[in-house]
Amino acid sequence: MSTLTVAKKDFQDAARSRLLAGLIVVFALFQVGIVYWMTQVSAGGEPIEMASVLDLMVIPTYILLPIIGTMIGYKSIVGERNSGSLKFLLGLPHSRQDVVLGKFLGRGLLVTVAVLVGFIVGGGLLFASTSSFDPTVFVGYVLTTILLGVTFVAVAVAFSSVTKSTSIATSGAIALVMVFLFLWDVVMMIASEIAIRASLMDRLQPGEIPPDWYLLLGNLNPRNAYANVIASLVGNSNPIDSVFTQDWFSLLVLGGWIVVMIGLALIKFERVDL
Amino acid sequence: MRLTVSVIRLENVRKEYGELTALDGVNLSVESGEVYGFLGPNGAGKSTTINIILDFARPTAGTATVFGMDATEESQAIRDRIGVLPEGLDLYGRLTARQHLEFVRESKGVPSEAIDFEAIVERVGIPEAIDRKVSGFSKGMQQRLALGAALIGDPELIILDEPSSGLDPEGVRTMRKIILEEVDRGATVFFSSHILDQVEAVCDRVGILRDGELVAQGPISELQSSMGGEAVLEIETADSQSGAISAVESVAGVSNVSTNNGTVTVQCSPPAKIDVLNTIQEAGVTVEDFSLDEQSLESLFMSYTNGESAEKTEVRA
Repeated sequence: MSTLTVAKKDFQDAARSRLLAGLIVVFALFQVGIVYWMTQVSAGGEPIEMASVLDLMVIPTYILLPIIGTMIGYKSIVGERNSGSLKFLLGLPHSRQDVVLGKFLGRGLLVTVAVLVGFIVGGGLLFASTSSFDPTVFVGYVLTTILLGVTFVAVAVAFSSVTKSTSIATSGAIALVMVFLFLWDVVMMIASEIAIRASLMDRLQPGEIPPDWYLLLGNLNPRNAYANVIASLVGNSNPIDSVFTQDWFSLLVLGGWIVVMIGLALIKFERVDL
Repeated sequence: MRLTVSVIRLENVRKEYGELTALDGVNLSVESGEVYGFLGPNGAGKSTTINIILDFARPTAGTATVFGMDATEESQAIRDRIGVLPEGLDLYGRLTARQHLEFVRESKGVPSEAIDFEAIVERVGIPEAIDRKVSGFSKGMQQRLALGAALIGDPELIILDEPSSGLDPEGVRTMRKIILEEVDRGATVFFSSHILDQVEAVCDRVGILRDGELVAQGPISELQSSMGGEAVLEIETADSQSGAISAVESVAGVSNVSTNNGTVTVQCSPPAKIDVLNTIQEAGVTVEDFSLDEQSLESLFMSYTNGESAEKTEVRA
């Protein structure tokens, strides 16, 4: 109950932020833009398969949404800690857990709204201009995208709970985005290079399936897990037959990030001096 | 038999931040229904103490209890029964005053029909601002709103950390009036300040903190006598006062009596001054006027916080 009170207040407060309103607009414009370009410009007004539109949306979504999710979450707790309003909040009968969970729920709802607004507008346009609108696939696509956004909110809120100053939080948020969008791939390249040099694996030939550990490492990145789920949703056949690229495993990765990050935040924030 | 439990009790509370010792074995108790003034210069550890009471920080050693409950283990249950005005406060700029009050009401589980937000903002002196966003509030208005919020749910204990910061003189008067009204209702008030005249006017007892140690605690008058501070009463009388002199001399706490024409000058401990006046009148002497030169809390505070022993040595040398 107390968690929900914090979540509600936080949503009310954060939803009035101009920055966040701007992010929602950017995301919506981007959804509409892709759909419009695909259906009107690229296809020249001819009917187009919904799956190919959704498929094309994946890469821009998984670049933009981690940024949006991180921006929504990274100041959520440290911002209040720096300004002093956290002492107002915790002077009330809320536990530290209520604060972490309430912030996560409030900001998670915010990213959900951002995704929904984008997809309602984009989806409307898609529905109007495709011959093959499949509501089940579309809903699955929206829900998976929300899950990706919430995952990054969880990472950012957790990070926000263990940081002491807003300036560290800002550079940390940039670092987080870099890790998931860029550094992860670099690490994977380095890891495979080391493995090849150490004769643990052979250099991959085109069409060859990488070893399981490599697939696992790749799919532990929520961005890749998301892309895998979307690929099978829109009917792209997956040539790789590994546990680590299955939908259920990918969804587990996304859920796992949320649970582990929020869990760590709960433990850490419980003991910290404000 | 009913045991009385202190509202706030700190026993040997120590707080270290790395190498720095913020609190060095503080013992403190606040009793039910009193106004307790927590004094000390900036940096003495007042906020650290309040942070421990509210579980914003954990003590390195020692125990803190509120209503007999452990401040760390049962913090949420404690905070359900108290109102807090934190130091260095900042509110939610994008929310209105009413939304803040509503959030506090909901957080404390007070039924909405049991509360009148208009009456609250009226009481703290910002009735016109109830539906305005807090980002447009001055520091003093935020402070008033936070005070109003702290009163929601009629808390048994009200903790105010430097409550007068940012307030204009009128705001300070409002604050003082509200503190006294809340005590009349039965609440206990604990507030910290480095400004003394506010404390002197409303406090039943004070505690003085210096460098993380509580160097004095008690009613102001007691602290004055323990410091050897004496009040000097100058009493103007209409009649011959010869008969009253010996009676006044025998009053407990009186150390010297002298007369000069119609004026009697009495040196005594501060609590004895009323007895002195009564004794003179009982002796049949009419008191026309009197003046009092008492050691002020200011000088008392200075002597405690600057190190009284060093000062005494100097005087004797």
